[in-house]
Amino acid sequence: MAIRISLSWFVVLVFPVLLACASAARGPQVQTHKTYNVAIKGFKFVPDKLEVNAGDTITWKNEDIVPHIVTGDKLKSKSMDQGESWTYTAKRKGDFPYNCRFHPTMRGALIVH
Amino acid sequence: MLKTQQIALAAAMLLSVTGLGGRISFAADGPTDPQIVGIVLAADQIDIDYGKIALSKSKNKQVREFANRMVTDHSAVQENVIALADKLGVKAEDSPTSSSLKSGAADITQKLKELRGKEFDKFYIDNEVTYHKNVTDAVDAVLIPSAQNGELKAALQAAQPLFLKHLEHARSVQSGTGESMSH
Repeated sequence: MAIRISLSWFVVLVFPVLLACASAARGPQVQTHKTYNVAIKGFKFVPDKLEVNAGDTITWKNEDIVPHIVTGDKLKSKSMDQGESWTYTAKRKGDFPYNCRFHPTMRGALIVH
Repeated sequence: MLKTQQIALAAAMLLSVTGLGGRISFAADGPTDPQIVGIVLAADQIDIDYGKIALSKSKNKQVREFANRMVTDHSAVQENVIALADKLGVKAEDSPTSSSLKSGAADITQKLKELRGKEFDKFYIDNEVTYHKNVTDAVDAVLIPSAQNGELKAALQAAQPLFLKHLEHARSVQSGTGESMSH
């Protein structure tokens, strides 16, 4: 009888308290952000269209033998020689078309949700 | 069979890749690897030189950006071709094709030096369109099929998108000739 009472009290009172403490220890839920890669090769952005969430990080890497650059209204990289890269964290939602200003017919699009 | 195809392609190229941008003609048996290296280096250098003339003469923003890009990109190609040739132990050789490229370029260079203003811009861009069209055709139809060394063939295949992008870029500047070309 005594054991049953103790077990009931544990379930009703103690267990929820422990659960609450465990949740508090974990802290507020942290949203995880992803990282994406865009290769610049064969005079193309690969992939040429990329959809990400705000907070995600995108890295463009130039694999061609000539310099390339990422240029758009909101995207402005440095000039990248072969093997160099540029990383951008998407903060604002929207559609961001871009091209390589050096080779204007190279086009890509970043869509941030 | 392959040789026959190459001869046919070379014969076709002899007819098809002549024009304003510099004559590109090939011997019927196709170029050797050292000759291919010589042709690519000559073709690159010619376009670098055209670009430098344009940078010294043109005031048009689109033309200057294009010319600057030609100098930068073809210089990078030159460096890579020289490095690859060194690695492969291939020494660039002159050929009737590289000689004809150079003699054609001498005529174009003379004309570029004579022209001024909008006439210069138009001639330069028109020539760049034709030149890159001829080069891309030659790379596709003759140089890649003729290359014997696998790495040289792969390098030519990898460089082809560059020439095609330059051709697209030149055409886009060409289509803007007139209203949008301000001085």
